[in-house]
Amino acid sequence: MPRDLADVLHYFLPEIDPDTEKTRSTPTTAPLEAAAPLEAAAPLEDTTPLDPPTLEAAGTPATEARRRNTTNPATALPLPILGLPIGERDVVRSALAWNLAIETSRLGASTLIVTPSSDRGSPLWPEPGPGPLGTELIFCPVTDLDSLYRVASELAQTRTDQSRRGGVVFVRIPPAWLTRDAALENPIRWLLLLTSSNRRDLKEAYDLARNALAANPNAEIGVTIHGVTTIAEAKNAFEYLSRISLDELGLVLASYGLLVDDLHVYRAIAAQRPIGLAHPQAPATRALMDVARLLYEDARSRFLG
Amino acid sequence: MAEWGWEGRPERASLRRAIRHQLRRLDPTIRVIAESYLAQSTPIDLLAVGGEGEIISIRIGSSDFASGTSQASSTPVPCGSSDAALLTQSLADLSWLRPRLGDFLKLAPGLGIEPSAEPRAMLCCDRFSGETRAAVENFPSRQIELLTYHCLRQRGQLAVLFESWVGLGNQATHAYGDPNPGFQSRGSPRGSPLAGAPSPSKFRTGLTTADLCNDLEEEKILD
Repeated sequence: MPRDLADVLHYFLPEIDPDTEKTRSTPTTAPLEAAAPLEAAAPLEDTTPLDPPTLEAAGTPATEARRRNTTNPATALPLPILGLPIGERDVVRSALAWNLAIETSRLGASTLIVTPSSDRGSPLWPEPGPGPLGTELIFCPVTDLDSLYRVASELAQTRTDQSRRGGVVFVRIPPAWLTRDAALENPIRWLLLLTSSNRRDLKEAYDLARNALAANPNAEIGVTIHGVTTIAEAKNAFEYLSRISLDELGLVLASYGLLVDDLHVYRAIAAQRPIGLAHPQAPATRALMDVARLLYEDARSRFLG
Repeated sequence: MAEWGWEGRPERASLRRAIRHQLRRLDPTIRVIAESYLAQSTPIDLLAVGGEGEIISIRIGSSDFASGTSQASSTPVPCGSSDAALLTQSLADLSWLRPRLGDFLKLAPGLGIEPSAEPRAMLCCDRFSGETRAAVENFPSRQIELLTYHCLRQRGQLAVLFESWVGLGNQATHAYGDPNPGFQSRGSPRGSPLAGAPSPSKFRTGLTTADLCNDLEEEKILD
């Protein structure tokens, strides 16, 4: 279901924004130019093709219609990159990230998940390649934050052209990389921390936020509280974390809602099935959709990740 | 420290994005729901829903635009009257939006629009004339909000600083959203329009308690 008024406005309104043509004409070649370095400098270990093969010949009505639909000026900029610090064995957070990407796709966004290829074969992720609702999982052979960002930003550039309504590149960041590469600036500015409401996890989230801020003073850090049973529990946890972050680090955290503690979450994790598709009416799905909406709304207001 | 520089003539699309981005810091409860939304005769730059479910018309103007065209339309605007034209358009937006709140609610029930909440307007411009400020004093608090913005470019990205003039008299001047706190302390003394505290974090969710309850059927399955 469309959640954004902008999603349905094109049924009623003419396109009259005078900036449209300007924005559209300037960067048309940028994604194509950016595609080459991705293939040359950062080859993907995964054999999944970056561009899905098309069976339609150029110039057919369907192809033309698709071409017209992919020239939205709002997507001429690279897709925003969202960094998620997730540990190597953190199956719950990776499953939540995967489901969030799928729910963001459901809202109409183009989403992909980029993760180091060291995750290959681990229970963190399902099989690579295009998945439910077009959410794609890509392993990339990188060993540091900078290379990870380079691959993600090149994908963000190349996918822009295909993303009529914008999207998000979700990037798993091994938390140790934020500390290890502290001497280098973390290039990923937009980060989402997934934390439960217990004090130990909140302390870990605070430490991550501190490291992320040290690695990039301009980092924009958001928090989703997961594993809660009530809204009040999530609100209290967020307010605690945001208060100490503001007091100790001068950091204003952004809130990205809550994810509930639901049996469906754990069943879906075990089965590696999207919660939203298996149990569309479950509270866990409603919560995922809400967080995805917040992320998507923010993604649409960004220029770069 | 990141390099930054003042930006004189930003592209309109970039400016709209920067303002949309900064609005999240100014008030995290504001959710932008549409861009360039055609109202009476010209498009509203950003249409948003506020924390109380009120529709907000956000119009963006600039003294630079005045010599060419108005902020969102191709209508020529006499030089020097950009902010006055913006105020007129915003007032027209309120009149246009008010009877259509029910339609919005039907069109997009998930947006949290409260049809009984009075629409309001935010005017963003790089400067406002004394006449415009005086005119706004005639309206109830917050119905028409003036936001003076300043553009700067940081690492190639356009960012804006807001200096709010809320329409409660000259005493209400605030600044929001300095993207570089270090700059503020060095470049601008406390008490100047560019000095100010960042907006506090606010917990956001569109869920209600009912959303977290399992449906009866679901519970039966689980049982």
